[in-house]
Amino acid sequence: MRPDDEAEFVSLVESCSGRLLRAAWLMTGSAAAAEDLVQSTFEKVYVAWRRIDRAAAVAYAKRVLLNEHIDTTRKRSRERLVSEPPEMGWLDQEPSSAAYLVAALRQLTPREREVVVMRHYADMSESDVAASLGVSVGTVKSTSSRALARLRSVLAAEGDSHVR
Amino acid sequence: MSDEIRDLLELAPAPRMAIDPYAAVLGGRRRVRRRRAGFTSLGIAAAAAVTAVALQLGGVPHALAPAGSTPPTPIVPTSGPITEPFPSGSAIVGGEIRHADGTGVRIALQPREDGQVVVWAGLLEHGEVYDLTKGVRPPVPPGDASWSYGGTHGPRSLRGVFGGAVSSAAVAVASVRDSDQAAITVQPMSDGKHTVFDAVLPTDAAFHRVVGLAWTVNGRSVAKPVLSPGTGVSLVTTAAGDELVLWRTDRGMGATSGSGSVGFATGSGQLEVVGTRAGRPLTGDGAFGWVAGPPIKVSSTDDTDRWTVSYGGPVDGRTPFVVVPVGGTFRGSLTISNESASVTLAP
Repeated sequence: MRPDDEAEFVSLVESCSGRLLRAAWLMTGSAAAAEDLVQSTFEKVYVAWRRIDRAAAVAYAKRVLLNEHIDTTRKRSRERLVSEPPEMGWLDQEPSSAAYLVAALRQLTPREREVVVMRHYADMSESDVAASLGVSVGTVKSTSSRALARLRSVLAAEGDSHVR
Repeated sequence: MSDEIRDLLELAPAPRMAIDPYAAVLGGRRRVRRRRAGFTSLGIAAAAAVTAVALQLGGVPHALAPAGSTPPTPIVPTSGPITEPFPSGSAIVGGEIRHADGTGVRIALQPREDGQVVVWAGLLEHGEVYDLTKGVRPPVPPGDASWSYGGTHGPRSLRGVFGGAVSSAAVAVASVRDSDQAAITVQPMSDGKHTVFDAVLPTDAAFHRVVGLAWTVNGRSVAKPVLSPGTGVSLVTTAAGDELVLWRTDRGMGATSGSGSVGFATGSGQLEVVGTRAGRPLTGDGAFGWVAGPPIKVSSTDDTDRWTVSYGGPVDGRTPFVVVPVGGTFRGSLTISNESASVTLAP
């Protein structure tokens, strides 16, 4: 890649990595997983840089992020500890709005979570989300409605339980 | 969509996360080269395009900046092809590691008249040197190291040289996945005063999560932490003078010394503790962890147990600690506590 193209790519990374990281965190619930996902996303964007319309580079990066998340969650993999289980104990922290948002999002199916986050946080178009998920626009709309209703009900229940 | 949900998605506090644009560029270049390599023959020219990042740290332990600050800047970035031949001659200190599959690394130290040393590092494939990098730095004394990343052919490689005769080493990878752990090989160099090493980082995650290097020289563990976005990393020096790299993420925590590495998936609390068995990564039983707040208190059910507690530099409001028994083992159950939490480790 030429130096000026690379500079443009670095500028894209600097300008939109924050938003992509947050979207990835909302989908995965883990900062480490979010960083892995976004790193992988940008590497793939780099490979495709020559043929990307610069005006649509951010939209392209969002599509790659969603595709990466789909590939990651659809694979059957299991984390293994590097050593025997530890003898340890720890206390739960007080619930925070971030913790119960993440927990609430985990109540959705992976597809519902992808639709909610990428449509309503990352502002992906319905057609782009549909193309990545391999479904119709109508299915994206109905998945979104169902997921939002479920999220409202989960958040309402969590909010009640944390009233002091 | 309701405003409350949109507000939550936008505004709920998220953990600190960051992407290094330079790492994204390096990763992208690797993917481009892997795709191109799939279309070339095995007869690769010696003058290959090289992109490497050389990270060098001084020999003095130091407190680290908090996680999330700017990652270390490459000291000797190398770009474009290096066509110079690998140096040879009586003044050159050389060493190499060859693996059974024909891959390996070759390192050379070339002294200069100004007292500096040129460190040459290249990958080997069936006797030919590729991905040659070089950098200029002060001599590498015992307790110090010089290394660079590289590896356009096959797995990612972390290769370099330790000062002194090193018997064992470990790479600190901030991951609880077994598949991310690095294998490292050491080999004495021609002068007997330096040791070449080659660490294979098996996955992209491992490559991006290297948070330090530790090795054993003159019977002591020496460790060099590397800043990494999204990871708390700190150096802890025990009373016996052994150094360990301790790391923590929202997925787990671990420790690395010259004896090896351990990592565990953990939750997040005011006090996080892991008990270790002899040799992993401490010499003897012990415990390590992170505490938010005042120093820990340690007690044992056996009155004859004695121990030392050592702390590292705090990161994001948490302080790493290592508990080491005097004499190598604990006979009783150990309880580690602070003002709000308590953990008991059975013997």
